Amino acid sequence: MARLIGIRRLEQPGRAPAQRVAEHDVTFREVSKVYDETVALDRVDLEVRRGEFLSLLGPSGCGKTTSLKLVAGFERPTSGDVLIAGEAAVDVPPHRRDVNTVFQSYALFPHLTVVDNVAYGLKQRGVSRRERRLLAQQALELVDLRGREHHRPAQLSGGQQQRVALARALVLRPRVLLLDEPLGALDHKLRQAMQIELRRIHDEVGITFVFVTHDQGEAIAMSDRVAVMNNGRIEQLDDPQRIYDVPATPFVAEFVGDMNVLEGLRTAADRVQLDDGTLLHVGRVLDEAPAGGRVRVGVRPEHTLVVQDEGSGRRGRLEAVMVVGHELQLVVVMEDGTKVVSRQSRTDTAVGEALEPGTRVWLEIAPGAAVVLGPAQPAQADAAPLAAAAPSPARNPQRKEKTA
Amino acid sequence: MIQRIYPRALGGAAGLSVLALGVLLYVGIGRLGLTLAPSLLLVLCTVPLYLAASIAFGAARRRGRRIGDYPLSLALPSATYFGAFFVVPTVFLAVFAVASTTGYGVIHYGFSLDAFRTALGSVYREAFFRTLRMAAVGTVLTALVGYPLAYWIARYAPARRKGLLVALILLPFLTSFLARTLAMLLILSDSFVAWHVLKTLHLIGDPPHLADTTTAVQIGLVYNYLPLFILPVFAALERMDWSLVNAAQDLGASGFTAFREITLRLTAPGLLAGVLLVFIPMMGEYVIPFILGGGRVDMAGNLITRSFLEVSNYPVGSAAALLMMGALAVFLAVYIVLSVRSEEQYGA
Ligand SMILES: Nc1ncnc2c1ncn2[C@@H]1O[C@H](COP(=O)(O)OP(=O)(O)O)[C@@H](O)[C@H]1O
Ligand SMILES: [Mg+2]
Repeated sequence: MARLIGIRRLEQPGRAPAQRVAEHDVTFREVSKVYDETVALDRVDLEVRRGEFLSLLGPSGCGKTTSLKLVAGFERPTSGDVLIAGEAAVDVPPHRRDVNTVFQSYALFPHLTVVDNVAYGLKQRGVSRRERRLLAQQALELVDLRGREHHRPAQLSGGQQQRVALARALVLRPRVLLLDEPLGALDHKLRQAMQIELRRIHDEVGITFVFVTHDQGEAIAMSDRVAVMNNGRIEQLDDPQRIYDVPATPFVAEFVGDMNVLEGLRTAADRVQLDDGTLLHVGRVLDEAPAGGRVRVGVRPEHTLVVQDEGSGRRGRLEAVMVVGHELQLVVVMEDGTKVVSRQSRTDTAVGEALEPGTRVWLEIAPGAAVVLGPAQPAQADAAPLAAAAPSPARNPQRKEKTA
Repeated sequence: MIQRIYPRALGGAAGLSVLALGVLLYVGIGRLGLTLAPSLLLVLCTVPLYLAASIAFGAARRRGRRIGDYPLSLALPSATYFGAFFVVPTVFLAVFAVASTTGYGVIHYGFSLDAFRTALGSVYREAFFRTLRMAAVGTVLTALVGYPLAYWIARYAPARRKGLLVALILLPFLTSFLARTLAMLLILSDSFVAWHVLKTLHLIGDPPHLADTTTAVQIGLVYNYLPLFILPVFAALERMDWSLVNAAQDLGASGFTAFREITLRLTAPGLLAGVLLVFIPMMGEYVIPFILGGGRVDMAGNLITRSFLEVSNYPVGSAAALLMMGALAVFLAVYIVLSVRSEEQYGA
């Protein structure tokens, strides 16, 4: 009977059943998961608020899928507690959890038609055939898929399959919907359209979404809150704006958004002197590095300005100019060989778009915009005594793409 | 359209006329009592069959097209083999089956249904139904024993151990079938040492009297055909996408329901292949009942063997063999229909 209440909500959206009392739909308490030798999750605490759109963001292998499996019930934690709606869930088998999953590979039943796929869960609940059809139809309309009811999954495009998987999970109106990189297999354009679509569906049905992605842009654009994961730990759980503006750890700073990484000597608590003598005013320190030691500092591209006349900035040579939509992206090679990416709006740029690569330019860094990421990587110092004097290796600010 | 059919019709007509020629020849030679003739003729038949077929395919190729867009010539070697050693002997069986016999092994060619009448008589009928029952029980037991293992290897065995495990399943095939069956006889017979040990320990009373019983034959059937069942079932389970089972459970299906509605449903073609692969040879089995049944358990194969090799009644043996083939063809037809349908459904 309790299960049927969830179904009735489809016809009366917005009317929450009375028994939803817990404040958090999913709670992890010190959850660890160890496979053989791999520590997939390492004492993770997490609270997913009711109705929110929460993203688990991190590079491949950081434990995102494992987290979802623990919520869905396909894995048991090695230690710690998993709670769903405030109640211990570890001993509840998957089919008794009020949680549904959109699988990474969609996992549509190949022998069933689209409408039978969507109605599968309703059938398990003993909903009558007539009502199943009706509800499945409504769910397919919700995900904007019509006229394909009697096709088999193999006859659908990737985007359509993705919608079926979504409808199949949504039709049950679970307390929590888990989505494991559902947009990963789609092409860029479709992906962007589906991001908006998913957010619309979330707002429409009012179900808690736990959305897994390795694409930081996606997580930032869609979520109410983002949990940035690394090596089986959550490094920061915050709203997207703060994740970007106030990263809690060096990993978050580098993983989310573009970041130029420079090296220099920490001369005072809020001062770093780069190798060419430039003094940077540091806004935040993410990892305590002793004053007087070499540190890595991060500067976002939009916090730099490229100018053509000598000012207080560092001297360099323009390497490339790219027009990216309404923005201008400039790559400057500093005199010590470091590459810095700068981004500025095309309307208020200080330099012309027609600027030739090779031109001498100056780079200004906004005061307080730099953050200390931590001590300079000891590996470099160990590898070659020259490393300190030699130019630090060029960093590619677009590194996040690599993690795909 | 005509161009498409013409080469095939030509090949078919050529093949059929060669067959007819062979049959006429054999009947003629058989009258002369040359026992070497059947085997010689079989070999000779392959030559004109092959020529006819290659002429047909050659004609198609000269037209600059492959028949039905597929290079049918790839099927030529096996077609020749099956033509020579299956189609031709089957025609011989048919010729024998409508012949009649007098005395000891004297065959009169002609057209008579006497042999079929005998082969449909109570002795053969009983043997057929006994065989059907034993093969059915044997197949079910094989499935019950083999499926869990195939399932375990496919789903839970470490990936790098799978090859080894499959090789272990095939291990019995490294020894001769006859030696294996004789070894089984030692274990099943009352003098097997383990029975004595158990008896001395007062764990059992008398040895179980397994040898020379239907039970022994049944056990032997399962043992011998187990690998043949496990392999296709394992292959099907190995292709299984286990996230589908998770998906079913995620949507509210219990473990057992998910197994029945997803795993079993999706691997049904492999299961069916495994079932037929053991059921059909079990129906034709005669060595296992001969050895483990000690001559007291007759399967249809034993009766047919006897009419050919012991009493030299070729007509009755042939008629029984043909009837058996017809019965098994029904099972095969069911398999083909089912597997074609599942292929259409989700392109295996
Ligand atoms: N069934 C498993 N057996 C062994 N190791 C596993 C298993 N599942 C995941 N892992 C390991 O756990 C870590 C986290 O995996 P996963 O949660 O799938 O990462 P993500 O989804 O973030 O890419 C990885 O190092 C992975 O190799
Ligand atoms: Mg994953």
